[in-house]
Amino acid sequence: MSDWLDIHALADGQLDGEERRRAEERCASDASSAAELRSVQTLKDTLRYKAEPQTCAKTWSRCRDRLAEMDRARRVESFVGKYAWGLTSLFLVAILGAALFNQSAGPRELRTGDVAKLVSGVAQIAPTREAMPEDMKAWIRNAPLRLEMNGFQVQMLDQGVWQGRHIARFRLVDRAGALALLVVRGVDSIDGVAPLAGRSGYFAGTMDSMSCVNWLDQGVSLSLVGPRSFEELAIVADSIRLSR
Amino acid sequence: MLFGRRNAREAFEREAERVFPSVFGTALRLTRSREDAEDLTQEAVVRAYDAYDRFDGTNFKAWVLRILTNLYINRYRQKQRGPQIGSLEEEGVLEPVAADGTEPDRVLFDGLVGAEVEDALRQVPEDFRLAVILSDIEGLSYQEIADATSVPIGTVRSRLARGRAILRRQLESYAKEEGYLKEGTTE
Repeated sequence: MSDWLDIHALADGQLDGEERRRAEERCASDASSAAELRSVQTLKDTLRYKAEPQTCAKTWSRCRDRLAEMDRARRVESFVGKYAWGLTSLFLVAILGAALFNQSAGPRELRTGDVAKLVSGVAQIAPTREAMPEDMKAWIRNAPLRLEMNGFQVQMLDQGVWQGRHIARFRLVDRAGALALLVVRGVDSIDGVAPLAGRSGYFAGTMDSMSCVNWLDQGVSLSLVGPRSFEELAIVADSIRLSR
Repeated sequence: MLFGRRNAREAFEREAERVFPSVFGTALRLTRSREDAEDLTQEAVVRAYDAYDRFDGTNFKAWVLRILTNLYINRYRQKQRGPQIGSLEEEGVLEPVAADGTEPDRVLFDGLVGAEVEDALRQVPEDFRLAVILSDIEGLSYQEIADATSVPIGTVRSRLARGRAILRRQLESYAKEEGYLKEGTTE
């Protein structure tokens, strides 16, 4: 068997030295070996020259596209791998920054429940340095956000910080009785109240059978609370203006 | 780094484009389906590119064909149904390729066209066909075929001899059908 295989190996150019010499000698001396060698060589030539060339331009093009795609993916992986710590740190800083910002700014929405707590005095306001001034009128006049309230008597002023917000609480008295005015800085919207019909810019809601009219002015929320109708409160609210 | 990668791809593409017809032709002759051959070739090229930094720089075609063959054996062969005739005949008695006759094979096979040769090759059992393709069409050495098919060199030699004997019989029957050889003559 190995003799036949040696003839194939001779035809394939896979024999060296002594093996090659022996196989060649055998082919020279033995007719069947020589015929086998010729037959193998003919078969090899037939395959080499007659096997059909295959068209594959499209397949090659698709392969190239995939290689380019692989390179793109590698570039992204490499970038992420190289700068992973930097990116992670950046995200961490961003998250911490956002958290700090939120903590300092607080939600810019005021809830009616908060208004009720503050007006009723349930919510304790931490006094600031300028809290409890000797002269309320002077404070009102000199405050950074000045209230102009004509026709009212300010009976009580309570001012300070509650849940990170600057808050001022007034008790106002006019001929019809007492009202509470709550001024909260840094508010964009008021939750739990509905727009007051026929009164643009005013919102209305009821708290413990008392009416509350609310409006926003220069990033400050003003809530007027008292045992009056919404319309009456809105008329009072018209006379209260915030000026810088 | 970026330019290094780009240069590596350009170098790979130059080499791959040169051997691509061989790789695709081998895939087509193995799978006998254009669609499977396209998938197999693409997968082989992608894997070769992925492992290009481990290529030893000797014979690129043999290296890619080894990847293709391994891929084919591990993946596509499992999908095929029917008995593996090649493995059943592996241990049989080895026949000579040459037939006892006076008409030389060169004359006999001269009239055959490429499609008939391809068709005859398709009839050869898979393991033998693989050895014949890698050796006689792609020109790989016994060692390279052994590496590609993960079998010893002795098995490669045996498969080649059997594959050629089977292929010759197929070509002979085509020659008879086409009238290149008259019935009744041995060759």
